Amino acid sequence: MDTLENRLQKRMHVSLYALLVLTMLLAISILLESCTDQCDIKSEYVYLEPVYTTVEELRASIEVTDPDTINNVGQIYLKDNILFVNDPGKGIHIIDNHNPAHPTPKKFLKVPGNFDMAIKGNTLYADSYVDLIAFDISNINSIKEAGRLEGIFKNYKSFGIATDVNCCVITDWKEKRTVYLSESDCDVNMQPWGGVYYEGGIAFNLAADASSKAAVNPGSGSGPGVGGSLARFTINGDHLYMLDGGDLQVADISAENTPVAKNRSYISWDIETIFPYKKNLFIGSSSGMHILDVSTPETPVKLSTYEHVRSCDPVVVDDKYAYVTLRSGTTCQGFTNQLEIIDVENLRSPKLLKTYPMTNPHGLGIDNTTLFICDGNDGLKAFNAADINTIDKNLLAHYKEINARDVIPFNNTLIMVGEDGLFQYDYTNPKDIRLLSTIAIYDED
Amino acid sequence: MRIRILLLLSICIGPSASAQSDSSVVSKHKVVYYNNILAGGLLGESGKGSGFTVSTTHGIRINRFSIGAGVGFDSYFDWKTVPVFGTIEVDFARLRKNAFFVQINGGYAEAARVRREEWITDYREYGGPMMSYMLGYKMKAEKFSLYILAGQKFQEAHFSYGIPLWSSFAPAPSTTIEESMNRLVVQLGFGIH
Repeated sequence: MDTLENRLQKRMHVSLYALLVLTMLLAISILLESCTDQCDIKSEYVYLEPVYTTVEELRASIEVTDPDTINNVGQIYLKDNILFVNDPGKGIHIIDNHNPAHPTPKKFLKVPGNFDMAIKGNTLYADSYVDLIAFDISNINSIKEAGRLEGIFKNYKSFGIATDVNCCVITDWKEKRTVYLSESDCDVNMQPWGGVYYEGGIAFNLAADASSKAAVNPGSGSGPGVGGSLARFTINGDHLYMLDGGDLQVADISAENTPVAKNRSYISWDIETIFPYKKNLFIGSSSGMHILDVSTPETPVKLSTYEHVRSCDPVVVDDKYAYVTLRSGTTCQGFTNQLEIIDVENLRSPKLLKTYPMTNPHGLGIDNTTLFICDGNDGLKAFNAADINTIDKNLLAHYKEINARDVIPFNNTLIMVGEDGLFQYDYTNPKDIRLLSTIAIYDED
Repeated sequence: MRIRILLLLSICIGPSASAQSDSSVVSKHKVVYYNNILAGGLLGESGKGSGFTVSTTHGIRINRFSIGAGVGFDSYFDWKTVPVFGTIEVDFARLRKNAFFVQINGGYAEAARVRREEWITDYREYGGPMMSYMLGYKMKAEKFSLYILAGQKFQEAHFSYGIPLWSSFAPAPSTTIEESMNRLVVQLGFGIH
């Protein structure tokens, strides 16, 4: 029955529905307005803070100690059957190698900041951060500092941080962890650069990797010794040539114990290794090989540059050919892994003759016609290189079970360094290379 | 988010408390099973895209109060989630067989992120708590009920990743992002009351 009471009740219901709908619409509009996302972002960064030491402290810390364990192997150098093994940043292990089957550690020469070395006569030249030190090694049981060129290295491993040679140098890097909290509306995308802090610089190991050319002219007596193909120091006559960043620094060492700084010239920012041959220097870089004439020793003249794809590039040379290994990798960049043979008869116009694919070639060395290539984790390879056009068909031996990084072949003894240690082999018969001895590396980590 | 959760809990605890105070008479009322299946949209700010949500809830109804548990699937712009939740519902205004109700849902959702850059490393993703409060209207039709609901849903999800550095000199930076998504929910559904 449609009474007044019912009509009023219906109107109330309608009003109530209308009120509810309006309330819901209002609530929805308020909710929609507030429907924003929020992102709380926590980023953890590690940056490396430089630790400085005064040059006075460093200069006072040179000392000779009893033999120590080898924690890492950098450059190797052979002189008068004494083997000098660089422990990067720490110093030089001195090993009596008259009997390669039984090398005998004799001393450890503590040289902080040492990465390279060369020897002439009875004088060992070693870098120590910004200084070049001359050591008298006439008696390896009583090595003494004989001379020093202070502040000669302007570009030591500062990794982009300027060094005040009159004050302090960076001797270590302290890891610092930082947490950064932020908020966003979630529209930020991940950044591949990762937000690495470059606060005060960051360290990268720019030390040249290993690869070495054989003892072309292994010196003895008053002459120089022989180093690997990764060396950044070399001696030619009475002059010591040192790579310092992109520069070539010359020092007169005619008076062995008192080196005198001479000319410094810029070669290229990416130079890595130096190899002397006759009156020339062959400088390997990640973009090519530079050939310099040192007929006038104190003013090297660049003759030519052989350019190749970007990669690490140790080089060794004989009369006609330069042997260059190119390899890819994190610091080397590029994607090329091969052996290149370059005609260097005309030094002003080097020409690529042959390329052979390799796995990840590092150091190399040549003794007469036997070419040794350290092919990274693919081991050590020995080739007969009498005919440069058929090197790949003349593989004499392939030792896969070792990691090979650098070699010095000399007098039928091959000194090889790899990740696991320092190995010496007898290669009198290249097809039957026999292990003579091993010196283990003890990783500090 | 915490303030909202506390607010929702206080709303939730209110009717629950009154339900407890009526516990002496609860036994006099019939306890009935109910379920529903709901589907709808997740509406957010422009640029985030609209998602969808489906869920099913099962529980018991005692007079004006209902409690239950459910599982669902929600699709957001960057995430897909599978929430498992508990629900409390109170009919606050009955109109004959129909009723307006408020509903509070809370639980946890496993989550998978849809967008993922190729270059990142050490990628990990985690779910997070889910909370929603809804206002709804249900209409009874014989054994079935039809539902229409609107409300707000909060969902947290986390992911972390590292950066592939070109040098191994320093440890790679890592980033953890806690994403709180806030959406307007509109749902339709049906169920047995």
